[in-house]
Amino acid sequence: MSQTEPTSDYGVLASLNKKNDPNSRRRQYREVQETNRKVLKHVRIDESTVIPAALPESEYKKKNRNTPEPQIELPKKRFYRQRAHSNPFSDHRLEYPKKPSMMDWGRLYPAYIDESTGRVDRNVEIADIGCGYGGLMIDLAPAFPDTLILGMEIRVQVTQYVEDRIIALRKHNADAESDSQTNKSMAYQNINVIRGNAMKFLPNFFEKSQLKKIFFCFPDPHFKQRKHKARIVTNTLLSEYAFVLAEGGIIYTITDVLDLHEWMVKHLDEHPLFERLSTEWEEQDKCVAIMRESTEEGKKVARNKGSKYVACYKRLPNPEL
Amino acid sequence: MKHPFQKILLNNAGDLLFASSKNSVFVYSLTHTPAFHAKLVGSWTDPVDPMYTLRKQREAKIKVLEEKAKKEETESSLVNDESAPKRQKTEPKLPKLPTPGPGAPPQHTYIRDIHLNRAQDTLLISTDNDKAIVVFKIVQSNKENVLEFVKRQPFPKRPSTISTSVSDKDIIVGDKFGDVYSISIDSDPVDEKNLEPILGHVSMLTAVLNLTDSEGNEYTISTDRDEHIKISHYPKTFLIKKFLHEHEEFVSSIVLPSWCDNKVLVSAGGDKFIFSWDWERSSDELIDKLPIEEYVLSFVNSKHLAPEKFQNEAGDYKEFCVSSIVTIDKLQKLVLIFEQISALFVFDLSSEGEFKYSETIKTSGDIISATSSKDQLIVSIDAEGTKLEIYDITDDGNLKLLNDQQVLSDIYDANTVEVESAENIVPLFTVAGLRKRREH
Repeated sequence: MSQTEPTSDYGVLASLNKKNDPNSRRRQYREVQETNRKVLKHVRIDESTVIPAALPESEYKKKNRNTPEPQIELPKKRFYRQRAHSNPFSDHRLEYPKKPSMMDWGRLYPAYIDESTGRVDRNVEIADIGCGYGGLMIDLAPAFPDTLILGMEIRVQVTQYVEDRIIALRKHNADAESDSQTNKSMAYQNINVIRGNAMKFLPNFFEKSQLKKIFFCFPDPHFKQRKHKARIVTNTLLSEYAFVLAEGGIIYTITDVLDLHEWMVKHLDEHPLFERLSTEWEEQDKCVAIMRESTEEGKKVARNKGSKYVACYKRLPNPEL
Repeated sequence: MKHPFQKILLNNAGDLLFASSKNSVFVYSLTHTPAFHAKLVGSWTDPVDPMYTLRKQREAKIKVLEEKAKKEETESSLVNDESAPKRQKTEPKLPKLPTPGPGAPPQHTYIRDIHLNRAQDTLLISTDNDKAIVVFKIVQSNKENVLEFVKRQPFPKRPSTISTSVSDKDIIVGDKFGDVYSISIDSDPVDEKNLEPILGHVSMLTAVLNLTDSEGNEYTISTDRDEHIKISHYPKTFLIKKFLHEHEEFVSSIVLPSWCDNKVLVSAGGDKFIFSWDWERSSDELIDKLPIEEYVLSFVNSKHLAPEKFQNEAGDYKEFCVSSIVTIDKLQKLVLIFEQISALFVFDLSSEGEFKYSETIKTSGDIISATSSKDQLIVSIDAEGTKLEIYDITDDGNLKLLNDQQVLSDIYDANTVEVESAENIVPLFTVAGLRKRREH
């Protein structure tokens, strides 16, 4: 029987794409998560509006028969499936500010809003470009408790996973740690994620010299020669990274693909505004250690006993004109 | 039917008019005294093979096959001849040159853009087929043809905008893929594979322009489909000075009006505003942002309906955009040209960079291209065949339509490019297509 031309009622049912099935567990799960995300993302948590668990209701009841406390569960990766690649040249439906001053950072870091101005009291200083499932940020959060860290990810569902993960982590830690003065937990309040195309719109988010650190962890290798322009490190893009990076700021790169590592080293070496940091420096830097161990990709490479190639570069002062 | 002029360009003095028609460019000398007169003084037709790219791809494939065969040969000669069974030697099958099937979109070999350097003695042409910039010296004393071919430089991707450095020594080329290249105007052509971009956007480039600040430092301004206006130091283009953020749609055109002393940059594109910038200032660069919708709206028609997929329920959603800005130095005015609209929109621009609407002049058809000299404004009109409108810029501050049929027919007659039907005309209106359609 042809799936595209159903001939009977049974055919109609059979042709229903699993993805479009409104009763699928994945769909239900994602809908609940989306509702919670909408509520939790941009405002301070009002618990009465939170749907108790990001699971279909029946399952929630089953699971939580003995725990009446509402709780937000950590998101489950299997419900957020997405292809591994996204074309950085296409016109995605992206949200980005017209200019950095128009970015409402308070939506992402509500715990840092200064009551008198209504805006966050500090600038984002660390960016994780292509943050994937957010592992790096989650380990950076406690290592840099006073710094705002932003992850940028182009894949919609992966971004939503990270959002949900941060929402859950913030909630779980709400009681664990609390600031004595303001009496609110600051754990994971300093990290967040946006769906964005950093290759196109980094200057829309960040002012000149705003960032202290930029991470490129396990970027898409784009093996084919004619796809090389899609790589996250090219000589022309490095000029834009140098623009948003403060003097002395650092670009961190790590990959398990030797060819890509050599490509990134070549381009960074050639760029007049960057200078490679020594292996001794890498050994003593806590971010390098975190980067090696904490990203999902990094763990996968370690499981498969693969190699990890690290290269870090310092932003040099502008040359004389 | 004569092919329309897809791009026209006057030199500043107003004594030379360059007009491209399909894959040819015609040069007319314009004399104003004793009477207005036009005469063909030069022309060039692109001799490029229409199958250039396909043939090149085929040659590359054959080369790979030949190398492979050679390698196999040397390998087999290394093996002991007696023990190894002799391999049957077969001629490698040569790849065919693909021929477009029925229903394939028409292939045009045409001149995309023409540009004069600052000294006005060199003409730069960008071609579509082999993605090249062709350089000509303009030798006015040469009676047979003022265009003297210098070189043809192919690029890896299609050039979308051309300019020159302030010294006129370098040609600055922006391409459809977002890369900007700088090549010496005098040196021999180089292999396109060895060209390295000097700066880049991750978006099609719509304009590049070099200029100097009040201290004499040179910069390259580059604009793209992603609303960006980027200012980089030149030649140290790795050092970005700033971005001018305010556009919410693509930028199509930037100009640096002479009467503002290099200080004011004007930009327009897919937005319902025109923008002026004090580009040198360290912050708050925007000077003026003038809404233009009210002037244009009565001219917007069914040609401006958004594509079906992005249409509203009533099916009446229309979009318009500025395709170019022309400066009228003598009157300190700007003329805005909108895509597929039959009118000129004239605005005053003060030396401080403030806009004021002046007037709208109806034209006899949609404007394909427009250009100005110190005394004249010429527009190319979309009509059956070739059509121009010539306006004199009068001393009392007006644009006066000339009705000199002799001059016009002299110009039209010299255009030898005939086409069978409208289908053979090259794409004339491509700016509206820059609008972003965000799908997912």
